[in-house]
Amino acid sequence: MTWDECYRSVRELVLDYATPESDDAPLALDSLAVVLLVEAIEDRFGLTLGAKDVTPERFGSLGALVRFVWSLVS
Amino acid sequence: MRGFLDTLLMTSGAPTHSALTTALGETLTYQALITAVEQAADTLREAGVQPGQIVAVDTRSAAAVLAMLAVLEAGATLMPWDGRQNDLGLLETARPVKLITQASFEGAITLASPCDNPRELAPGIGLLLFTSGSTGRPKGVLLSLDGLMANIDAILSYLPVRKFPRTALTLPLSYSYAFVGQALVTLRAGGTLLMMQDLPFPAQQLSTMRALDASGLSGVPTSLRRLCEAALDMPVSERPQLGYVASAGAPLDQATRERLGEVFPCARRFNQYGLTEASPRVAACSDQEPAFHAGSVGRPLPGLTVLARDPQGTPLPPGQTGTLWIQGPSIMRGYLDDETGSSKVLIEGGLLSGDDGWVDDAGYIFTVGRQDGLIKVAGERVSLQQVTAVIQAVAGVREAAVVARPDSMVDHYLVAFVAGDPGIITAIKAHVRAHLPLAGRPRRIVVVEHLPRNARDKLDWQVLQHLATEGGT
Repeated sequence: MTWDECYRSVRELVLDYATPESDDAPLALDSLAVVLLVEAIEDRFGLTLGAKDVTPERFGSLGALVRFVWSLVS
Repeated sequence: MRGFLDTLLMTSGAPTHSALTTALGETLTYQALITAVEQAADTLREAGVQPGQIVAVDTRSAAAVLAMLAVLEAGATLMPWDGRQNDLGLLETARPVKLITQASFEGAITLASPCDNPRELAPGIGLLLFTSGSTGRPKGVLLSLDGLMANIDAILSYLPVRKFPRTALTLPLSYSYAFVGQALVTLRAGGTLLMMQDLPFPAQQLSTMRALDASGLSGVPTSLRRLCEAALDMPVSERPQLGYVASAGAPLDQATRERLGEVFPCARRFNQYGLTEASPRVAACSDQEPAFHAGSVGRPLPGLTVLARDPQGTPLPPGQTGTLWIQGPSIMRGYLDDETGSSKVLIEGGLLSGDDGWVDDAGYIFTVGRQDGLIKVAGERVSLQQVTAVIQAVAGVREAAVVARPDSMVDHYLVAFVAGDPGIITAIKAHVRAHLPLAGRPRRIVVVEHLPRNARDKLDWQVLQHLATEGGT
């Protein structure tokens, strides 16, 4: 998987749960959106995310989330 | 005539006691809460709001709880509306006279007029809540104020809110579970609401509960599972010291029941059963009762009767599985604009829940699921018919079928199979995002040439279920 593919995949999943104005804009997820997004990422990338992975820093913006997922899949 | 607040707070604590605290530690006393609610109610009356009319409230902010109380104080019908989901169709259907878009802790509210021909309801309806219906369209559930009050007192007969009065509110206020089952119950008991809906991350919720000295927590199994996971990462001394943990909204599996006991060893655990159409709570039991450990959702609350009925409507003896039927003061008046739907479920002076289950000799209820295409996703009721209909409405979709798969974290997830051209997926996703609530959006959408059919040319659900277990998009 390339960075671009990772970016596109994560963005596609995020758009189901949030409508960020830019890569750095806050995602403003509610708790339902967080849990559904975590599950969708696990399913799409074959990952298992623990509670330690699900933090405001990593899920705060689309850009942050892509960097986090890329660090796990690359 | 007594106002709503007077009735609700009759048994509450001192005026200087804290009624509400935000995650940032801002606090509102009971006296300040009453003043703010009365001011907001005056604003509604001055805007011409009459009893019998509907006022919708955007439930996103912590101060929305004051606006919700103000609608009831003004004698109108409250329609909680989650602005994050922004479902304008619900406003078109309900025709509220006003929508409260913003509220402050001082009682200032911002009003919008979302429709030209506001509706008048029969008097005494306190709440209008929308929930997924088996026909595919969301149904508006009409709940009487008397029924709500009866349910609040029935909840206080078992949930130890008076002993553990600092309630952590993590669920959206648009849920009857959160607004009635937690917010109104806590205020009635003179307790303190800890408003934590803006904290979506489990570790954050736990540390805030600890900082705000939370003593009671209610959640859906999904949120409780996530909290358990996060709590195991922190030392016991840093976890909140909860007096009780209660679950409702979806079946609480054995692993989560046990995990909650390990993570919060001092907390009494409760399993509960309810549905929006019953205001919402119907039954409960605690971990002191053996039936809790056998997976029961508990015994009916005081004033309620529950029994199983067969498909012909005949009451079944204990131990036999049928559709659970509930009788008592807190069942709904009916569905909005749907006499046929109402008369199907309001039978023999009670409510046919749609949930299958059985009642044992001691009165404990065990649920086993539903047959009507309504499933739970993270505690939210989702209609497979509605999801299918939304996907089928996209131009170029020849056929669609939606499968629910069981999931150990979020109860179920959805996989949609669509017959159409491969390029259609972008249009489907856009349509789904615009027309379905978060919980109803399929985790995967699989585009195929044709949907699988069996020898009798019917959709082959077994093959679809099998395909849904395979990964990838």
